[in-house]
Amino acid sequence: MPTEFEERTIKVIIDTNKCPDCVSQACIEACKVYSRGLLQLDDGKPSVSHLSSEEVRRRGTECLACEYECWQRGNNAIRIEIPIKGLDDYLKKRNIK
Amino acid sequence: MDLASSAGIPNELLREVAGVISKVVEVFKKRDCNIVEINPLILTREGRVIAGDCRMGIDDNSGFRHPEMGITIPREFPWEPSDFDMVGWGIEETDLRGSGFVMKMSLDERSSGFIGFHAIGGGAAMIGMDALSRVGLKPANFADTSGNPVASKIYRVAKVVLSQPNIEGYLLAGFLIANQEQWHHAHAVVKALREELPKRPGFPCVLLLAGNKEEESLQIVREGLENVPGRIEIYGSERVEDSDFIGERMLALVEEYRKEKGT
Repeated sequence: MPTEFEERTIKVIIDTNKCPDCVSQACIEACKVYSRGLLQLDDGKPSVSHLSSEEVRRRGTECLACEYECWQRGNNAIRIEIPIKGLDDYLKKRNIK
Repeated sequence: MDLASSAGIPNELLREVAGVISKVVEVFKKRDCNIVEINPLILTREGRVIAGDCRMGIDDNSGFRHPEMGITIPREFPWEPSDFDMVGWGIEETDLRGSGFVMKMSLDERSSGFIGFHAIGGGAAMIGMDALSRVGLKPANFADTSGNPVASKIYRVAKVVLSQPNIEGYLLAGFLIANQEQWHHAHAVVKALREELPKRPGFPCVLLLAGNKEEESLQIVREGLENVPGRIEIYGSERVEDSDFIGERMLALVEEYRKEKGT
């Protein structure tokens, strides 16, 4: 099961099955440098389970750095969803793919 | 009456002119205005005082208090907000973490030479638009991500800018040394371009990023876009005052892209 958590306007989805093989664990360091250190290692996997969901929303800065570092130095396990209100409807209406 | 009198209004008109001034002040307060101007104020042959023309501006932040005015987006617009403008407004409407301003600059989607324009700050935006216009290119939109916005907000702006079907390039116009950590722009723009450029192979992108954490930010952009299929050029503070160069590079990449597409 992937780990999911929400910040104020985004959703972070981590496929933690990919994490035990990760040697860099770069997402953890990135979260300290670019945000407020929400992510911590829990049994070798990134987790925010030490925080309540309200704390995650309050502290999260939506920096996107964990996803980037996981692309570059990890196992491509992190995906961040950033909804944009009205964009899908606009693209559909304009027939833009 | 004192104000009208001290302005030299003749006695026989004092009451009427003072009445106009009082009403202007009332309107100013009631409608949360930042300006109410009557110009000219006309005295007719019949001795009536009337407003020949007027202008009223509302404080953008008070728009929500005045549903009776039917303001769709509390910003200055040269036209009724387009669908694109509504999407841009959706980024700002409830997210006050820095600016993420996007609006259309032209409704012309047939002419060539339009660029998806993404500035970092109002001053940079003016310099960037000048850089484009000097080489015959045009901003399809206005966008500004300044005031230290979060990366998710910058990403949304970049995605909306890149959603325009008629653009022939993307310019990240960081034409001033920004007093904000630019790595948030770097992460956001990399994510947006990694998603969008595979849909437009060879698409021209000129990225100018200068300011706090510049070296780290440029490294993120270079590394993150290394294998992305676009014509991407990345510059930092060494080119921040050289808008001619940036405009010329944008044009050169656009011309290559046109040739490749046969347009």
